[in-house]
Amino acid sequence: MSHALATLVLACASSAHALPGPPHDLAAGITCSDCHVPYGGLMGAEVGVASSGATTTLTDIGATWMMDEWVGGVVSFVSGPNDGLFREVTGNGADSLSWSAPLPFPVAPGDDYSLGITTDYDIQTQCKTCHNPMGTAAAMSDVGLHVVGGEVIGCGDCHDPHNLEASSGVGNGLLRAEVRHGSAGAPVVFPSPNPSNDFVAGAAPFDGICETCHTAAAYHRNDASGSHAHEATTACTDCHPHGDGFAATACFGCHNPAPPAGYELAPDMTGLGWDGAYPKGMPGTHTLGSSEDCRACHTLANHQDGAINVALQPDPNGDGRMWSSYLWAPSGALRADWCLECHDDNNGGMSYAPGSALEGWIQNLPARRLTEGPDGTMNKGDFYEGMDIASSEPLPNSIYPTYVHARRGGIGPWGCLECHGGPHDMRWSYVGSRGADACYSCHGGGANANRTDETGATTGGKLDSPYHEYNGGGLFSIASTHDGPLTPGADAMICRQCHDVHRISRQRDAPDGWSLFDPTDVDPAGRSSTPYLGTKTTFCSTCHPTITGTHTGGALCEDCHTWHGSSLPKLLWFDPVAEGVTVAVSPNPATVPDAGSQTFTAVVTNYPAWLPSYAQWSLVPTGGGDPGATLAKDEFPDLALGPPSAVSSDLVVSHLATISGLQFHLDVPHTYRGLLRAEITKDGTTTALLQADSMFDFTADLIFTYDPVSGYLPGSLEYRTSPGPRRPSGDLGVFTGGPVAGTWTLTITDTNPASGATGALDYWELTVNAGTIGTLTPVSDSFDAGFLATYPGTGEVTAGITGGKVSAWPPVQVRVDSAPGTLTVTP
Amino acid sequence: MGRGCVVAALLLACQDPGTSVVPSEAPHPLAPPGVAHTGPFSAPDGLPLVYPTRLAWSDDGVLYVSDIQQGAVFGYRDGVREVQLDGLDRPQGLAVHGDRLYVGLAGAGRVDAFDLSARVRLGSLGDGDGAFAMPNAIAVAPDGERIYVADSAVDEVAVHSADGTLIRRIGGPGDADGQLRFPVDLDVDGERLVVADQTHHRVQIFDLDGGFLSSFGEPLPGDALTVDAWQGRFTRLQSVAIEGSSIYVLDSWFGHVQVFDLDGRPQGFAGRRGNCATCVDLALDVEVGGEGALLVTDPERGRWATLPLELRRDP
Repeated sequence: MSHALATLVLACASSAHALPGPPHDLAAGITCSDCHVPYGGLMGAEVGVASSGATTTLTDIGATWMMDEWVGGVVSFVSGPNDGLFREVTGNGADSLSWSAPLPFPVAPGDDYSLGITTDYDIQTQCKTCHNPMGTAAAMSDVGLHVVGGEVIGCGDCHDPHNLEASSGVGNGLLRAEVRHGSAGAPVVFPSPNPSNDFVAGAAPFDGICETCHTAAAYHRNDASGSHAHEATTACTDCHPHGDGFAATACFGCHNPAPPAGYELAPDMTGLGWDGAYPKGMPGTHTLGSSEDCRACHTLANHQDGAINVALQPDPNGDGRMWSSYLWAPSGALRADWCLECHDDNNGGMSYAPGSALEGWIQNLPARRLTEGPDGTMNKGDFYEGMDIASSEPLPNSIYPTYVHARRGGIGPWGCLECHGGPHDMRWSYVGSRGADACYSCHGGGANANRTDETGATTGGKLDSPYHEYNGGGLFSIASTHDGPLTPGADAMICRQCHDVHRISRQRDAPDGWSLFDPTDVDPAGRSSTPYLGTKTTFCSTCHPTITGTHTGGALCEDCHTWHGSSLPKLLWFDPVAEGVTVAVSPNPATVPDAGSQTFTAVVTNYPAWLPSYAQWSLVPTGGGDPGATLAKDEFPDLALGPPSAVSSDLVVSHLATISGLQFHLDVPHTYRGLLRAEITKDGTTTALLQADSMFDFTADLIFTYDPVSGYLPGSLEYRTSPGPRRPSGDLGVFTGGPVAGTWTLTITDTNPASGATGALDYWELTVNAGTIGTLTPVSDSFDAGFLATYPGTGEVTAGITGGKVSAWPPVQVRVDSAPGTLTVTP
Repeated sequence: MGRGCVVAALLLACQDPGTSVVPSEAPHPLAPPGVAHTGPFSAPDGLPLVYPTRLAWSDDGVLYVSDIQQGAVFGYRDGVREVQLDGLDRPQGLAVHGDRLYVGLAGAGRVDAFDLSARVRLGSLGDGDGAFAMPNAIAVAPDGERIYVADSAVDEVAVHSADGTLIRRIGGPGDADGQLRFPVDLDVDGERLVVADQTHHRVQIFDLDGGFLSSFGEPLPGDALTVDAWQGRFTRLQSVAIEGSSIYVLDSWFGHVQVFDLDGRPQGFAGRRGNCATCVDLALDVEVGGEGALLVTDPERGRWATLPLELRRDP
């Protein structure tokens, strides 16, 4: 047989063209012709018209081929005297083809032809004609193509169907003795038949099959660099299965909800919105439910190489609407966009449902009904009428499009993750174990940093009892919720029974700032579907139909009642300012001896006589001061970075105060600040992370003030772009309550000293805010209570009476922030 | 247990009035319609197909698609998903007849039957779990009384009655006429059963009782140097369909469908593998899609494709 292609096929078992090994699965009845067929490579077919030719050549003056581009391919004639014949191409120029077996007739001008060549794609597809779930090799059909940096590593790069190589792991995947990929650095060795892990050899010359190509991976590189201890006794494919293209998709194998000791994940992902609390483990996952689901949000390309940037899918729901940024959105607004990729706006049809709804937030409502009101006037028996929560259908996973929940101070839109935990946060589905928690974190909780509970302690968190002040705190703070009984422990109405943060479009009906009001949700049965139109009384009638408009004189409900403002019975207003309540604290200023004490007196006037009450106060330094001085360390000569990989600087402090807050400022010029990691240690025992390294930050110079209260949040746009204060990566609260005095050690580490980046620690400082100087133990029935302040420091401090309150039973609380005075200390 | 019924019989068709056995996991098959989303039936969602393998048309114009990776069967009317069954253990073979849907579950090794009106699972053919090694394909005789299941891994076709009883086995391993090597697909009309005998590169035709009638097809040899030599020759014979006076044979190696008359005489080619609009990647099933078109699953691209039924003479 003269035809080269046919010879190859037909003579595969003998002759000079015989292959030095048997066909793939010969014993299973596979023969040469099961795979080797003429005209098999039709991909990339190109058609043309011959300009001239002969029996072994063809010229097409319109062609612009590369030299030998079609060698090994097939030219097929589809018109003229050679119609239906084809030949294997043995050579080509820019506009000419040649082959060895002569055609019966010379190629004539005008003859139509097509060109095809077998490509990697052909091979992949042809392998899968058996290696598919319905094929003869169904048991070995779970294969995914190895894609590295966008390049497909074809089946044939690692496998040889003829099993030709003497050391190719016979019976173990038909692996080649030498991987054909261009980056392969050495032949493959197989330490022993089917050992526990022959993907990597683990020792020089690093010639396990994975190692032969992996030059840039974090682990098991064939150039001896990088870690070779990574999961050394585990087969690579246990975590990097072939079925997933060798991506590390057995995610939970490494990323556990409770990571085993020794696991770590670098870098700190704080800069990407990760809270940094879970090095390699995940506290939870989005409710999709399994490790496979990681890929719904993450693209794992490169992760199999040990790369740590598990980037987000730009199009997680596959609808072709690409997300705007490939990296985690730096701001809340864009994070909302990310969520909306699946929780699509106004999507009642659930057509984008990834398998879970915005579950729970309606089911989380208390499924109880009040059967009677305490006073018979409000007909609370109707209160939850129609709110058959238990049988309510969960809302679809859609949220409404106008996503503009006003942010603090009215700045910008909110992102989903300002209330919801991140996708790896167990709070993902719910914003808190109680429905109102997320609201209180800003409205009366976290937004009100000075907010205190009835004992005077700063809570900074959720409102968990009805005994809180109602007129202090920050903007939009909420003291109490609408509730029936004021019995401690009773269920309160939660914010979302009246407000719906996902239905912001309703705010057009609430011109006075009752945004997010949704009467439909108050009464899902639709008993009152009247939108809120600015009269709260109208809204009251949704649940209290019998009292609507019955008050004489035309008074509206809100004239006497507030459902946020009071824990008095019936939610009656009590406005201490309007009542003329005042408070005076004396002496102000005061003088106390060093480490001495001073008794103060607070006098309340105009307090309603019908309310028995008590008072409590605290004296707190304002604006830092001493205790609370700024203490600096100027490193001269500068401590050089990289290499050595880490430098440390000590600052010895002798002040007597206890710590209530800390700020730090660093001045570390450096080529790439993302390589740097800064930690602060007190007395060699307590350490907090000030700045995590971040492989995504290639900006120069680590020159920042770290303020855990007002600094920019990690992951925010400002954090990434502004030179202003930022929040520490770790928790400085570990120092709270301890003495200021001692040795403070700053350690700056260059996490990749081999990078060539350089820098120095020039200067750093810490500012200590002192704790409360003194507090009053409440004394019942006394407004002129004195309280004792003990001062541990030296010098003069500006201090104020803050956090004071007058409390009564039934509980109503007045908070008074007196003007700062000067507390003079006598040494 | 009544006459003619076996333990796992399909209760709807078990006509013995003296007994009534209701499987605990399913409502009674005569339960009134409107019992929505019972068992594997669930509300249709918008998730895309992942790895569609088999296609089946219902008489009322719903196209059913099995998706082995999602463990689901979807039903589409005019391209809109209106039926969905989830939680199936590697669904492969698929057939529908009237209100009866049959799904071959490779993971469980069984073939389940569902009532599409009552939206319930009726039961399994034969012995239930493990009755089949690889239920790759299913076809139902036009009268609905016989269900043919290609059990590829054991080289045979199992024939069950509509009540689930095993009637006979066709084929078995071997190279003679009537014997099979990896029967990957089958189809049936009122007179004949056609089986895609993959390893033999041939289509075998049986009568409805399993009697061998004829066969056609052979491997594509290396010296098939003319287009005409391709006709009637297969490399990876993957699927077969019979409709009217034609038999359609899908060769997944090339992604094309060869069309034959009922005597096995070649009529032409349709479709091809590649990147063109009407090309497929790895085609695994062919179904006649109505006038002027063939439907093939294209799982690597997560879809089924419609091929224009415009026969050409080149492969």
